[in-house]
Amino acid sequence: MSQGRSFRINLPTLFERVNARRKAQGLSTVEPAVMAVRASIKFAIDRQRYMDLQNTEIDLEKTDADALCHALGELFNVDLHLDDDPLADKSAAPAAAAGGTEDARRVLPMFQFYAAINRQRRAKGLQPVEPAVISVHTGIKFSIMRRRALNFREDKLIVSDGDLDALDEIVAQQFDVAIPGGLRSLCPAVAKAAPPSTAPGVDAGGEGKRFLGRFLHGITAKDESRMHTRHYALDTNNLLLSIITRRAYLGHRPITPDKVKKRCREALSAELELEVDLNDERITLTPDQLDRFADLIRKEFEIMFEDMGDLLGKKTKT
Amino acid sequence: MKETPEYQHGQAFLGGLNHVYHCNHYNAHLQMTVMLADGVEGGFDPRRLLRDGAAQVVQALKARGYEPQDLRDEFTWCGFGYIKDVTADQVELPGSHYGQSTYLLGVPEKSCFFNAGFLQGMTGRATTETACRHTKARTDVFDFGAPAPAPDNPFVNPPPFTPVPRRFDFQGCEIASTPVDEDTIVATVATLPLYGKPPSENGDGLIPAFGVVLTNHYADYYNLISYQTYGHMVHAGVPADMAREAFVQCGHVCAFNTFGGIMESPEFHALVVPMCQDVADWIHGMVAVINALGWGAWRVERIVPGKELIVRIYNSYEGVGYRRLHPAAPEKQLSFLAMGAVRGLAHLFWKIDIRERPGLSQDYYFNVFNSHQGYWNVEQTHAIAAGDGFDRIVAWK
Repeated sequence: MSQGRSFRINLPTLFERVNARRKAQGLSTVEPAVMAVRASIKFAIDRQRYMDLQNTEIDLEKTDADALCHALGELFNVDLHLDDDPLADKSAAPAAAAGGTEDARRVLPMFQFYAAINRQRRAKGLQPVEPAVISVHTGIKFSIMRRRALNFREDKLIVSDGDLDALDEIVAQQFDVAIPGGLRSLCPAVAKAAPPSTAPGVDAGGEGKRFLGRFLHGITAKDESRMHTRHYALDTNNLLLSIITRRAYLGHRPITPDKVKKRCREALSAELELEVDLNDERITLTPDQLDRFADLIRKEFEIMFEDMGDLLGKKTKT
Repeated sequence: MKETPEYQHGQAFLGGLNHVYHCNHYNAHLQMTVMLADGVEGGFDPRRLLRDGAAQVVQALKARGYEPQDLRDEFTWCGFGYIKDVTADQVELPGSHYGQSTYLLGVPEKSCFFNAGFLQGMTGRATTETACRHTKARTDVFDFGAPAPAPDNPFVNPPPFTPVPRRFDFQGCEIASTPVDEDTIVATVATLPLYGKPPSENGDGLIPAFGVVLTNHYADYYNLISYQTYGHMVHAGVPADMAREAFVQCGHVCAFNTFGGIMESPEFHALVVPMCQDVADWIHGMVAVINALGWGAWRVERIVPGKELIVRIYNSYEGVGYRRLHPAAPEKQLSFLAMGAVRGLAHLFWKIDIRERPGLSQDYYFNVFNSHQGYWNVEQTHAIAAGDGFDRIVAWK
């Protein structure tokens, strides 16, 4: 069976099968409701994703279906394999989604998601909405519309085309804006059936296409084209000044440039295993390191920005 | 006014119902949270709940002998605005808390559901909002149609009030004393003119104070709409923590705007700040003010500056209100407002420092106060809703 294929599983039948196997082993039966709750939790832990197992039928990809069987097997002491059992309609159509191929998985970077909503709200003369509110409102509407939950507090989400259609609808309804080109325009990458927890490792279709990539040319960068990997040089003074200014704008307690340097150096060393000297005029990073450095700066200095281009004031207007 | 407010058990009562002060931001966010449940399942209409919940509260007042004029007077006194007759089948609200002071983040729609429900309960006729400031109308207009059946009384259980211990005088309390004089603060706040005035007194029925617009709202209304919505969301498969967080956020926005506005106000600086020597005293001072809001009796159990804040609430309006509606709950984390408020209180001192009067604005809320960085955790460990003697909220970083 190929990866990414959808299975429609009849849950009462699946639970009956679990109980039949338990009986055969001389074990007591388990209430289907209990099975559903416990398997949901185990599945969520294993796959980093919530799945409502109270429904009658559920559409799953093979990896998820295998994970569910594994969860049930482990929880209820039975040996259960999807391939052995007539539990799933293997020819079932993918989960309902308007027009999209559910197998396609895209990476939705959440900072881009929040920024896009607020860019459109500002353009409309509306107050921006905090990411904390966007994430919880979107999360609830998504759960209701798609009958499954995603963790909108992640940095990135892996979503299908159907999910993106639902999210476009939610954004319009809840935040009164439409993202030009739809949310697909924020998802440059197509992941290959990777679960959310593996998002950082997802093939992003080439470094130049990463979500930060299109802003990188706006940064004071030098293209070291003779190297295999494109590198970008950040002007250190500009970086320090940008961090300090943005903190001041947000009302944070002031910190000295030396402290900023020290914390940047420690973060780069601890998280990226990079030894850099912030006293140098420039530091050179790959696009991936740049992405991760941006995340570190957000966390370390409690400031929000869309990407390095945005932080350094080099973002080109589109 | 038909009746005057009474204070018992840490709660404020008017017409036999618990009233609680809340700001326009809380009312806006709570209404939006309820509306998120649109589409959870057949038969549940959150907009109808928002309207019918108000009618149910009015029905309880009518059962106590309220006449239409009593209801109009109370509507204005509580800060909801004032009602002006247009025809026998139509009224408008030239002053309207829900029309003027609340907001929607989503697509604009006619959304003065509380007003519609109040009028429906008052007149006994189906009420439709036909014009609304949210959709750029000049004023809010309501049309009356066919007679509407009297709503059921959902408040079926007696309120489980418990004795309130004196401040710091309960087992587990880790605080011995403070120079903050709570009795004086509560007594002084009670003298503030926090009520809506009618046009005859040059008022518009609104209560602007501390940089927000307050209502002295019906706690039962909040509880009705919150717990029904939460239940429907969870039943439909929304993870409970996600649904809960949406309600907790309402308390958080309330803490920023109302607590923050109070602590930046000249009144607070004149009355409370001179009693304060350190950050813990500021918390005791703000908690003393909270104890005048009708929310129940708040008692601070533990303060570890920058790390932990634990508050107990005796006779919390959420816990007691839940039990008036439902049997004891199987889960504890149901005092949503209290969780958001305690987290917000911690953020006011240790995410920002409200003592420095940073100046509160929506931009500041967006960029700093409700930014992801430095967020405190919050958990409810004891719940009146679940049969405990008090609510206990733990916030920690």
